[in-house]
Amino acid sequence: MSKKTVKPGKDIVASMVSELKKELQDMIVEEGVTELEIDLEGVEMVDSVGLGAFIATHNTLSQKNGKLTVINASDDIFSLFRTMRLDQHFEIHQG
Amino acid sequence: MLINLDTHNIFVEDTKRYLDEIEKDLITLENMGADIAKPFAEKLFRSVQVIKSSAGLLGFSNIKELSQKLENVLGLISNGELDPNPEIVNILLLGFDRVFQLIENLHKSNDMEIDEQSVMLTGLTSAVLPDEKKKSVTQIRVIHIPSDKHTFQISEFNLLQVINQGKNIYILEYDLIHDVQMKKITPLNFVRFVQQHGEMIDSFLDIYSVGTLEEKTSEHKMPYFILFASSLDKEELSNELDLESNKIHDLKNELKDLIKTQGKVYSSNSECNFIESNVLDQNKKKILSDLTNEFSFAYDSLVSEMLEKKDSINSITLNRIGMVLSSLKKQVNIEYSVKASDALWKLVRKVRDYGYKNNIPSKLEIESSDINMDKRITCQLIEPISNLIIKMIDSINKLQNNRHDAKIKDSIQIIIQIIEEDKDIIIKIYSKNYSFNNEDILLDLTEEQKQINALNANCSQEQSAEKGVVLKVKLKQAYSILDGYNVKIDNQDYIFPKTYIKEWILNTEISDDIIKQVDQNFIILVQEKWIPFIDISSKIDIKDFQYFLNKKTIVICEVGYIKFAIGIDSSKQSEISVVLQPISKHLGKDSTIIANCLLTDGKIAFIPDMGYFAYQASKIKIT
Amino acid sequence: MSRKISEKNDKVDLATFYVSEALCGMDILKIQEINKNMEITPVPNSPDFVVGVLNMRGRIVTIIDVCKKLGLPKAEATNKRRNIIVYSQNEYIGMLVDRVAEVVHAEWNKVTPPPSNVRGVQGKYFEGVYKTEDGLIAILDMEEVLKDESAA
Repeated sequence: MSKKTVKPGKDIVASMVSELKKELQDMIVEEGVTELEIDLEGVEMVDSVGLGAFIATHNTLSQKNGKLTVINASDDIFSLFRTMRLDQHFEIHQG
Repeated sequence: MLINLDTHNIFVEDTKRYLDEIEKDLITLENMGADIAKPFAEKLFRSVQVIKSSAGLLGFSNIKELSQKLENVLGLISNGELDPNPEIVNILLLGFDRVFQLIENLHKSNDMEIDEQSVMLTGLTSAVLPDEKKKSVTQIRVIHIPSDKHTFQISEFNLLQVINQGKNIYILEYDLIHDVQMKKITPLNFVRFVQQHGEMIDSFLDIYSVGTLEEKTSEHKMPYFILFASSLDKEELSNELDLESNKIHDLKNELKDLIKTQGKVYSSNSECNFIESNVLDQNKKKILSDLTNEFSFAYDSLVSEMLEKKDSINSITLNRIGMVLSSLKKQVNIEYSVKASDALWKLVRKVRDYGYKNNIPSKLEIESSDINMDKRITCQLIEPISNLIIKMIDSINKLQNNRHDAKIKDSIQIIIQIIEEDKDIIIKIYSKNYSFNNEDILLDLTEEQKQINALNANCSQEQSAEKGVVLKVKLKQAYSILDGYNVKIDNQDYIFPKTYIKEWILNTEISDDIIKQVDQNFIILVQEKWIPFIDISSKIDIKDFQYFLNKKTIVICEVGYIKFAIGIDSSKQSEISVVLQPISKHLGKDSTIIANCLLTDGKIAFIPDMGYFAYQASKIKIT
Repeated sequence: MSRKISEKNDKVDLATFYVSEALCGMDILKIQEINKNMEITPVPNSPDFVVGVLNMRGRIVTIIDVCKKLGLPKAEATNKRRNIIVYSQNEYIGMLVDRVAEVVHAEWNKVTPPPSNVRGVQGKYFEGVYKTEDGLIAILDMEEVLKDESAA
């Protein structure tokens, strides 16, 4: 059981997603992190590709019986995740 | 439709007006007989529909959802299936109270809790329905999405409500990459855009298609399905949403059994009813009031100056100016004038709620004939007067309980009488339950007195042989009211007139390099211009760099074209409307305050002479 | 001054009080009330004899330091200080004095006109002087004390 927090600190959009995904993948596959926390402090916007990154991360962790938690989501991002019912798949907390 | 901040403001103003009416009508409804109640109930039903549609259009889903639940209950009352007894009216009132709170926090409303009120309202709805209809509340309709990866499970009752409004139900098939990302739209704006054209009953994002971090999916796809209700037909919807026809699935056939059982269609007003708002009117009123205040200050200054110089203040010119000022003040009073009984109506609700909560049946009656009062004063009277009435109710209740022969509790009836006497308005409060045998207990009025004093009014109590304890609130008929901000500087309260305040800069946002000293003065860099600091406090003699850096907030003021900065010790913007009292002539010609007033805690606040400070600022040369 | 005195009817009740060490008096009918509320809010840029303003049951009342106005040496502030509230020129004013003494029943015909200088204070501030067994009471002319001095 290993827990880690990631803080991207900037908007989660297409231009940086592949790098983020690689980083997350490394953590889960190489380091064996099972409880992943993504801190969205400083993140104002998430685009569709960014959404995809969250979902892919959740899917990967699910396979390994792990858990994804998102914290410090801005009002807009929280609202978006709720509308898309993503809160039914992983935990999301407002900042 | 271009949605901007104004649209939101108009929505808030309009909804608040509706909510006011709704509250009054609900209480009237509670006290009416069943047959007279119908038109009232229908009016209520239509009002909440308008709120719901507007909220939906603007993307405020919680307001919309709660309004929907309220609408359901009002619909039942309207067609006679539910009787508006006090319990039910109470639940409705609580529901609308919550809507008001959501409106007040509009931009957070979608994340606020509405479960408590929703559950109560749904409970009402299902409890009252006859068995066949009750089933529809709990009966879940299963709707499959194309590709069958998921089903929507929606209560038939909710589907029926939507169908009853003449809307069509569709499943919209989107791909967040193809339809959103590729079109350079953010998912948030996309969702809001969709909500402009109808109601998102439910939605499903196919997360399994997205894959995992390891899979390199060559074709990026994020299927997103929306269960959608709209009055538009398929072609119109396809145009509006920029979505191909084959991605819009009409559920008409699937739900045709529900469509057939469609009950009475309540005619709803158009989708969204932005009635000409009086937001613009409110602004004009405020400008008139502010300018009249300024004129009044200038006139007072002129008169003092003339007295100083021993000039005659009986000059015709001065009289003419005085008359214009009087007329302006009268005009301002008219703008804010409201019928006293209307203005104090909220008290009826407060008494009702208090009685209901504490199981002390109470009723309030307002007798006022045709007296008008100033809206800005009456809204600040509601709290202290309702506290006074509650104290009166408690004291009568205690007396009634102590009477050993009390079999059934008499309902407590409080009367408010509003009369005009000379130039004053007197509000008398007493109880109809008074009987000669009662020992009267005098009430503790300290807190309420302070709040009432702040309005330049007085509150007292007396004992009368016929009426028992009578509370008296005495108000003047004409006021000078200033809208401003309450700030603290060196432990003294000031009120800064709103019209002159341009900007608030928090101390945390200032760095050392934007404050400089030039000769005896300090200046600050704001938006690439150097602006002088003006010291209005005069409590501390030596003002140095550190003094300004210690101020929690810097307020940038502008009078005409002159800008200046004032350092204050408050960190929050505290808006306040105050009743002004003139300053004493003993303060002399060098006084830098132009008026003073009382705050609700009994403290005295000063209104600084902004014109004078601007003049001082203009003399400071900044190279 | 003497004309004023002779026009009044005979008896007068004088509230007496100390301004610094000077025993002064005033027709009790001119006094609205006497209180010991010392929560006085100072007013920026006001003349030095204005102590400040005070919330008297909802009315904002200006408090004048009588000692300063009369030009007497300042006495130390004690908790015996009182505000004598009067109504003058359309407003309520509080006159801050150091100590209140008894009410003296006086007769106008026994009041003598003030000398040009009463214990170091200009005679114009007084309506007259009343002699009792305990000393001299200098009867204040309220309007004169509160008159605006700043006229050039």
